[in-house]
Amino acid sequence: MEPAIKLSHVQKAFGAKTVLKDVSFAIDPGTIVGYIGPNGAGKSTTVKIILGLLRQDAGTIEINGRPLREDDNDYKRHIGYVPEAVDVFDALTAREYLTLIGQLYGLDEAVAGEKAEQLAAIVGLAPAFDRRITSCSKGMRQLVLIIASLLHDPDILFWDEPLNGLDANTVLVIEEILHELRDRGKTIFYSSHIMDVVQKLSDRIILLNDGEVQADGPFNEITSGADTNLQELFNELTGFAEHGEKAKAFVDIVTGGDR
Amino acid sequence: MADIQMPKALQWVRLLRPLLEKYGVDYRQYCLVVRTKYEMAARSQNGIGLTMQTNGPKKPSANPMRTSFLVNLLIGGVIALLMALYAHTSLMTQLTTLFSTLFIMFFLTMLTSYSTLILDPRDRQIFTVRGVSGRTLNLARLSIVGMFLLLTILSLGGPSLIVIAMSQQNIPLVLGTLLGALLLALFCFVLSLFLYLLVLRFFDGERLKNILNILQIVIAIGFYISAQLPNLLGADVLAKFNFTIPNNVFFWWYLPAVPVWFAGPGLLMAGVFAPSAWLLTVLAVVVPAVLLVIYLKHAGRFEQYLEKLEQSDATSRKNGWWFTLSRRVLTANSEEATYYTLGWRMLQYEREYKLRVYPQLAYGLIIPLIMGSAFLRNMSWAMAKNFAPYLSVGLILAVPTALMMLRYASQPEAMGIFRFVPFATQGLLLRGIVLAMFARLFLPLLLLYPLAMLAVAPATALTSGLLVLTLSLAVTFLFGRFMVGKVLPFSAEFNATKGMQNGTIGCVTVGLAMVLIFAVIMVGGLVHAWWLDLIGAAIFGVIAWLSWRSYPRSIMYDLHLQETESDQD
Repeated sequence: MEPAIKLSHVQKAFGAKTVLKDVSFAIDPGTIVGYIGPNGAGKSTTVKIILGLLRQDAGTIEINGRPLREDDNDYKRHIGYVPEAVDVFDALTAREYLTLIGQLYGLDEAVAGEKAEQLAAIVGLAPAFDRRITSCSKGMRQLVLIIASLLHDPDILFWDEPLNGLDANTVLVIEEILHELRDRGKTIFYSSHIMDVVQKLSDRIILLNDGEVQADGPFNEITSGADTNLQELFNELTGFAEHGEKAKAFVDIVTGGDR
Repeated sequence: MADIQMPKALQWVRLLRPLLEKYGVDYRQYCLVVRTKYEMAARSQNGIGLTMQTNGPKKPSANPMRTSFLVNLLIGGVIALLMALYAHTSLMTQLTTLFSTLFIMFFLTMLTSYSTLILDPRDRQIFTVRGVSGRTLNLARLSIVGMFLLLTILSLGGPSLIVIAMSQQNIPLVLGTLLGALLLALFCFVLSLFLYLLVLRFFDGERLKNILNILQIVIAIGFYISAQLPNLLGADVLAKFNFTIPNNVFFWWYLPAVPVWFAGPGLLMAGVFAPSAWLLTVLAVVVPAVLLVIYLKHAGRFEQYLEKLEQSDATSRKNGWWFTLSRRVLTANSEEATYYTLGWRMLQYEREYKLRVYPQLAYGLIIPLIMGSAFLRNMSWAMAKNFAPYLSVGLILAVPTALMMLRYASQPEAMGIFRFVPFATQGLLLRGIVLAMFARLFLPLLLLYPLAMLAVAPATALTSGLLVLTLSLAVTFLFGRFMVGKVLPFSAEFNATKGMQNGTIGCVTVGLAMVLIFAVIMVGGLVHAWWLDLIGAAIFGVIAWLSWRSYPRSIMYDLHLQETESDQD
């Protein structure tokens, strides 16, 4: 079976700063991968390279066994993307925006609109469906992004902080949606800073630190069965141990001294 | 798969289909991008659509460009009047005047209204990740801007074409002039794209955004000032340059004087088959065409470079000495200093503010020169230098615009913070921000000008400087209370409709400012006495102080910002 996503020795630098030093991994279809790392580790850069928003300096990328070329756009029809920043045309209504996205993926206008409306109704977006996105709450906007990534039934999903702004009930629904999609053979590349969610959702975890893959495997495997959680492992692998001291120093400043 | 439904105004897109597909454009995606950009422009608040704001999807598409078209038509009418005044001159003079005016108008429109359509980093996040190629995206973007530009041409140039048709009774000439206008618009269009491409190529992150802003502001100022050049020189000086340009002689300065080229097609169609007309026509056709071909070859890079707009850099900013010093000297207490800092920072980063106010500042410097040029030119130097120290008073012409624009910000929702913090002395916020505006924009010029005047009129340079400074401060405080007044500063997104409503207030205050400017220059220059300056400075100083004191501490702003769904949670 061909990997859904395969990166081999991908490197990327912005000027003098090397963001990705040598990143390689292969992800099988039907897997939820938690792609984690501290800010600036290179997570978003990896996703942007795969989506064709940036070009790597070295290395190769394959999607569904097909190497990506510079002018390749067809593979993007198999990908659904939720960006971390809420990049939408907020002068449009949710219906208009989602219909546009469906049409960009080749759906007919009526089909895209109807499918978007059905999905919106399930996740509670219906009341805002015909309002301009600019007047929607953060959670509503996030739901627009999530629906936009799924309208065309993609094989691979790149979701960057997808639960931002969602209420607890909707989070549960989205988590279930992810499992359901995985069970139907979709590959999900999930990036988040909320470690307990990543631990709960992911079949496999890739930890990126300083532009390199520092850990890669199922949670039990990378912890060697030790009695720990992903947050502790993350702190350990990224060399961050002084959170207690930092918190104390912070509160000292807030309250004007040690009490 | 069904074709994409296009609004009526975009039906022309179908005609381009064979050409686009031959060029490798995905026609379906192209239509989607064009339609989306059109809808968004129609709903934009920056002057492209100028529609009434609604929350729903329907109304804006009904007739999105009508108001904007009518406003431009009004300006076109003024240009046509100018053409009527020039009707007695040679055809070349008329066409040069028309195309110089249109060149300024087109270029400013490209830079102010359409740059947001061209430089939208969301395009990559939304279209590129969904498989829209750089070529398709770029051409769609150019098509929609081209369409808006065409409407601008028709509205701005149409009335002048009618005047030419009526005065010259020559239909081929009208067609030639129309062709010239279209080529001129194409030239402005491609030239501005090249400017953007150049800046995107060489700069990154915040620096890139700053350079783009500076480029737009500098060009806007340059055009405003150069448009006043004929007034500044005066009719008699222009006459010495033999301002009636003959139809059939080629002058070397035609080459750098770009708008002149576009008179070529009109001259040819009017039957002027002189070599100069042919040469100008060749320049008008070939240069925009070559630029367009070169641009299209590099269009893909434009898409890559747009990614840079999303990057940020790690350079830290330090407070400048002028900010630190002025804040310490001008603010009464730490709370006012906080608002002063807020005002200063906002003015530092608000592009729209700079685009609209900086040209007014440049205007304020040049207007007294224009007003005075008619009689100063005929005076002896000994007499003229008495008036020179007072000319900086022209800067108060920019005060109304600078104050009015304090209401607006690109992210007004950020001012929502004042809904949550204890905010008992709201008058200090207004005063702090007005002070910051004055210190940032006006004070340096008002301090430097008298120093420069020491060489010209040492007796009154400093006292006149003090007079102008106190007058400007008094005007700023008085107008500030009146114009910004009850509205929380930076709490509304600028839109051209509001801009027009404010235009009425602006006209009255600008009129008052003009009277003051005239009075100060005339009285100051004629009497030319340091003691009178000091008396004036004392009076205006007291007025400024009283106005400053009068800012009520108990203003309660309506802190109602645009509501979102989350406000109802």
